Amino acid sequence: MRHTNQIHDEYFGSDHVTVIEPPKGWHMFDLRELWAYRELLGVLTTRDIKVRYKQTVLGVTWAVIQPVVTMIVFTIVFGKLAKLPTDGYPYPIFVYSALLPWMFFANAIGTAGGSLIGSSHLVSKVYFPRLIIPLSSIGSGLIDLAISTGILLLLMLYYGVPLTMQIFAAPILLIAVIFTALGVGTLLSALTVAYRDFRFVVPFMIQIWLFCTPVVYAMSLVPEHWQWILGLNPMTGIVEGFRAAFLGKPFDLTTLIISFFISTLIFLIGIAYFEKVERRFADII
Amino acid sequence: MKGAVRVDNLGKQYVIGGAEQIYRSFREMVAGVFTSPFQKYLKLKGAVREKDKFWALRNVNFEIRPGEVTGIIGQNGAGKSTLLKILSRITCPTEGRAILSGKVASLLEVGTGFHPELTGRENIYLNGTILGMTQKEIRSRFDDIVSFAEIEVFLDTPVKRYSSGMYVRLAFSIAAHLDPDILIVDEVLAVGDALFQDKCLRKLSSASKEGRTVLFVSHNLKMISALCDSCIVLNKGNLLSMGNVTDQVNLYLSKLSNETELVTDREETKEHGPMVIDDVRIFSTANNSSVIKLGDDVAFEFNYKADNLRGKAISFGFSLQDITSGEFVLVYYSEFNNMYFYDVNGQGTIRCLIDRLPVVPGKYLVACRAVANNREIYFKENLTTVIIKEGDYYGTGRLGHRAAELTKILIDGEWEHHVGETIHGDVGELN
Repeated sequence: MRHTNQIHDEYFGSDHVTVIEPPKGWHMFDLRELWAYRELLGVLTTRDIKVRYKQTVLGVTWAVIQPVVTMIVFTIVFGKLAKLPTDGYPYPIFVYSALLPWMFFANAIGTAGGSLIGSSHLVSKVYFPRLIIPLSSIGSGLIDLAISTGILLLLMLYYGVPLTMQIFAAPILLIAVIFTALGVGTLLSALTVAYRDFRFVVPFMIQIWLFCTPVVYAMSLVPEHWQWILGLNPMTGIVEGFRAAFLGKPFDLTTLIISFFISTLIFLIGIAYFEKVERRFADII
Repeated sequence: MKGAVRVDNLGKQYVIGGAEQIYRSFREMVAGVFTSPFQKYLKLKGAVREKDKFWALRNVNFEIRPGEVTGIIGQNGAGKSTLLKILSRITCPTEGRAILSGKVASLLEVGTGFHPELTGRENIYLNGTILGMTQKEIRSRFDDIVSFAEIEVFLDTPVKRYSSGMYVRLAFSIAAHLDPDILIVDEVLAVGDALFQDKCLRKLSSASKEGRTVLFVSHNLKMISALCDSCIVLNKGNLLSMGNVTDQVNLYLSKLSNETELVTDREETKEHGPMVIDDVRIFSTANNSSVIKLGDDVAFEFNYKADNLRGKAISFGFSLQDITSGEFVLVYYSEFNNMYFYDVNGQGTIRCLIDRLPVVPGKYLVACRAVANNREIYFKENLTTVIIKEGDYYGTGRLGHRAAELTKILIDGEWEHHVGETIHGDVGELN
């Protein structure tokens, strides 16, 4: 940074200087700049929330319909027909507590993946840290998550499943799922700009990923010596964790730790890749 | 020293055809994994195909003092937009450096990020934040923005219900209330009605009096002359000259007229399209003179060379573009008259005779285009220039030499006066 300071003093001696130079490979992620643009992040997130259910008849009811209908279908197919074991919980609650983080994650990476191309008019006309775009696209999903959490609590009341102290682990798990979604989402958004193939890859990937995660089935269904492989999928730990937090069954700490580790790794890779290719976006979008 | 701009040796290279590691699809990427080591090796040897590279901007150096309003002019493809995009940090330069001191705001488009579903009020906050204002700043300027845009009544209506005029007024009004040290503006004033344009111009120039640096791209040389102190002329990616705005605009104009002659010279040898115009003559038919006056009977003659066009129906057209404002004053195709040319082959001339030319005096660029079966077979901007002098359009001597300042179009009608009766309609019967 010495270099920049020299130029700075030489020509201006003012404290607000922008130096524009050719990009040089990997560079440090500029957290300070991102902080300076926090209001934009807020405004874009509010925009997405406001616009989300505009000109729909059912409006915000969609946030209720989607998880509830999914739960009903899964209950009929996997609970009643396939009779999958659920560690003793009623199937609706069993699957719904897992759908909570899963649907947030699936929606988040789906919208984040296409967010940059969807905002190409912004990217090619005005400067701001591009990371804001995938970040803000994830925010509106949190509202849906809050609504569907409310429904879960009602369901638990109906089935007479009590809340335990384990519910206090939920915020940590929430942070974990947000970070995982951010990592995967930013990575996909950057990849989609360069390779439009990912527009087709993402929905397909989400579908496959659902069945690699213990959402409709319990992890105990998998032979014990294979369970660690399932743990490499960060969503395994998170989904099982959510289930444990709400239903009060014991946490599987090993899987949780592996999943958290992988989450962090994906997050770092996602952000790093994004930062590396960010400066090329306007030229190739 | 807030508001200073310094550009050193700035250059931007684009690779056409995507020869660099920019894969457009996954298949290409997979293929690239195998070929890229080989390509990198070639690159190290310096064997990159030069024809795939293209400098949109190169070796550009200039300095702008704080508070100066600088225009940037140049023909299409001169690098104006690339320069603005680099200075606004939308795209990165390939070489060189630019330093800007103070808060920068750029306006490459009006209404960036406007969301059609949101109301005017919501869009003011959205667009304002995108352009770099803080929530506090927007709140304090909110009333000014609304009254400047004259949209008070529609503040809580979604902007998708706005007329295009209202939309543009709101968008520009937000931009006009930005308060950066450096403002970068692309051809955005071209939109909107004349009155509002004028209002914006006054707002912009008052801004510069508050000591704000403005960089302004426009095709409208009148606007540039009126607004700017200094001016940069770009040509094919290079900085041609910079200095006092009057000198630069004149230099650009004379260069444009010279260039048109060069272009026609080069045409013969270089282009290989199915049709080429190799000579243009525009003259007044009364005296065969190339001095053309308003109201003269004028001939436009285009000599062409063509091959393989036999049997095709060709529509031929030309346009006149005002050299100072950049506006097209007329576009005229033969097909408008249901006229198509057959047997265009070898060489020949297409002539268009116009009675009483109704074009306001000025200097115009002539462009020309030929179309066969909806496919363009020839197109040339800046084919030549034509100067139209003041003339006696009405043949009465009463118009004097004022057409250019009085009017935009010339019409000739019949005047009637009916004393003692009020008449309605049917003109046919009256005749």
